Amino acid sequence: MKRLLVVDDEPHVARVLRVSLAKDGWSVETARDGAEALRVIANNPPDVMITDIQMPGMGGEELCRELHASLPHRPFPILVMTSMTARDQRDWARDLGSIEFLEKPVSPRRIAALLAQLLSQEKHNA
Amino acid sequence: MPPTRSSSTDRAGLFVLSACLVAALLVAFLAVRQQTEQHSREQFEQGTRLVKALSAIPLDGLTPSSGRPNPLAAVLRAHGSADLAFGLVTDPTGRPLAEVTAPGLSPAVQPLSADRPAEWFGHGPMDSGVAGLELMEFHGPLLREGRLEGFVRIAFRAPGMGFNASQLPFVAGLALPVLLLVPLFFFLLRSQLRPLQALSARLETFTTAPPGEASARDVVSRFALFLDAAESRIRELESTRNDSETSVKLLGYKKEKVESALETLPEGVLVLDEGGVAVFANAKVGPLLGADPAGLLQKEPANWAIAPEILGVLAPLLGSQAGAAKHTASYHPGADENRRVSVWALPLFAPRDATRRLGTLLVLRETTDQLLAARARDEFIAHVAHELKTPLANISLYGELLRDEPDLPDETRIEAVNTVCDEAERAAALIGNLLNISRIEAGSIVIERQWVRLGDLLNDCMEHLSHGGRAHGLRLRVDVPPDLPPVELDKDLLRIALNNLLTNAAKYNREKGEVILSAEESDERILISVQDTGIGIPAADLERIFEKFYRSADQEAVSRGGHGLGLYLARQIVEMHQGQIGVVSQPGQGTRVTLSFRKPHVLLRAA
Repeated sequence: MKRLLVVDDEPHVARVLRVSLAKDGWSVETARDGAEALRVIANNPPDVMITDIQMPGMGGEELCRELHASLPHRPFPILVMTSMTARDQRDWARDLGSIEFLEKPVSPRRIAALLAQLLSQEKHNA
Repeated sequence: MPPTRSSSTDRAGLFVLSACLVAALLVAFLAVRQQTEQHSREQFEQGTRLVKALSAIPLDGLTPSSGRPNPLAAVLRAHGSADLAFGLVTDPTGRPLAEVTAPGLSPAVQPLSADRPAEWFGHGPMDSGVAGLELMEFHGPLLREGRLEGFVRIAFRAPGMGFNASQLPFVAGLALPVLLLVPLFFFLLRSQLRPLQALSARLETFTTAPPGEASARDVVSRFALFLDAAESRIRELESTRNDSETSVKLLGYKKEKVESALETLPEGVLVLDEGGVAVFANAKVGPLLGADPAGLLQKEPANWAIAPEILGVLAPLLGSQAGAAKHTASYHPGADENRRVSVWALPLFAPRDATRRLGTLLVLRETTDQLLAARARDEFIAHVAHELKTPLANISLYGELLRDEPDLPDETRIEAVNTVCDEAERAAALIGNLLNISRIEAGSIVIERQWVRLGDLLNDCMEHLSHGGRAHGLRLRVDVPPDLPPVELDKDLLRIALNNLLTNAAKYNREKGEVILSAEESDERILISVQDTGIGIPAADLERIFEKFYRSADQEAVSRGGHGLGLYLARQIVEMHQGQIGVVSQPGQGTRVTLSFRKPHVLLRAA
């Protein structure tokens, strides 16, 4: 079972992904904000993380900075969901090791394809 | 004929000069005569005294004897008078015993009678033997023990009226100021008289009739004509003076009026002359420019234009190639990013001559409101876009799930469909609020009052809230007294207001919190309250939460979404009912929003 961590204050993305990714062998965990995500990661790092930017408490940017500082050699891919297409958002996200942007509204089908691609890359690398 | 007139004046002047000369001579003559008389009196007293003194001396003392010089000469010399010309001592018969005579004189001495003692003392004129020289003789007896021994006789030169060199300084001193002052006065008078002469010449031209017989009557009538003309001319001049005084006052008044109008303008107004120097600034300029308006007068812009944008606006106008174009810019006064002042520079032209530049007008207007409104609008648009995108994203998410996963369990499918419905409703509510606000602001919604039973309306609203996803886990309560009379309100509008307030009460509530919707009446008012047990509103935000687009910066409130329209719309609706909306809030405890409406009979009474 591959583990996907969805960090979002709204439950919908996680809910839908849990259903739609189950058949591909993904288990989905959730965190409501950056702080909760850090606890989950410290406990048991996921294989892939998807995070929103705007959240109450610790937001997506701060979460990525924390991870970048504590884990410079990114152990898992990060996908950032954003409804903003501003360049500066992409800049920090890329600097902090995010590999892909997911424009809202996110598509479960596209996420499934992306995750499959990531897995095959990792297999190739391994 | 001014030359003739001038020469006649000169002749008159010459006459005056001569007359003055004569007068001066007369004065000198009189002065000299007075002095001569004085001299005569002194001589008389001197002679009388001297003769009396001499007659007291014994004869022997006055006659020369062997080895002694002539004592008479010594006595007379001792007296020291330059006028004393002659001294003689005789015996009673008149034979000279001693004699002293001034050189060049040969006085003819008349013998005195020894028989008439009354004549022994006396005085009288005496022939000097020199032409033009009179002598005044004094004589007295020489007595020894009551017997006449002889006579003593002396004579003075009588003071003459002829020119006396010793008196020259006095006469000159007297006459010279007169002689000098007279021409001075004359020339002074002449220069003063010149305009009068010119006037007189003109007067003559004016009054001179065509050549002919000029009778006295003609002269009088011409003079009268002249006086009339002069009077009307004077009146004309006076009225011109009055006119100009009036126009000066009028100009002053107009200037004051213009200045006071410029002072009352909401804009800062600054007038620069052609050289770019500030010549007028109203009081508003100060805060907009960050400079004292009085301090910038008579100074060039470089001295007071703190913001470089002002110089940039003025530069094309102050240059030689000034066009009629308007130049505008804006700046943040005092480098305060939250304030903005827009500045316009316009060339000033003469009212009837568009080619003549009078200077430059600088208008400053605070556009902070527009700046803030534009910022708020931008933020609002971004926020509305986000708020609309979120439900749409969720609808899209679940829609895709339903489409791609035909074998979903029933409960997942139901949840997906419910979520799609809720999110569609959320988007619709936002769009509905936006539409209602724009219609209210455009005035296209007219209030339609009807009798409403508040209990029914409030229960409807609460039911609507309970159907939405937001109210999940909250206790909802409606508290309306059963005997509350019907109220005349616009039911649809009030429902919109209450739905917004209830949505807020649920959205900003704590988990398992409570929402209470209540109504009560007082003597004059009906009060409807929405109370929650939520996060509350920071005191700093309370004053502004009813403003359009206003969103609290409170992190907790921001995280719960919202578009800054619900409370604004509720206030608009309440105010359409002539009601009031108020809020009390305790951060961390909850918020209570109260709508207050006057009862109909109170409204009637007020009307």
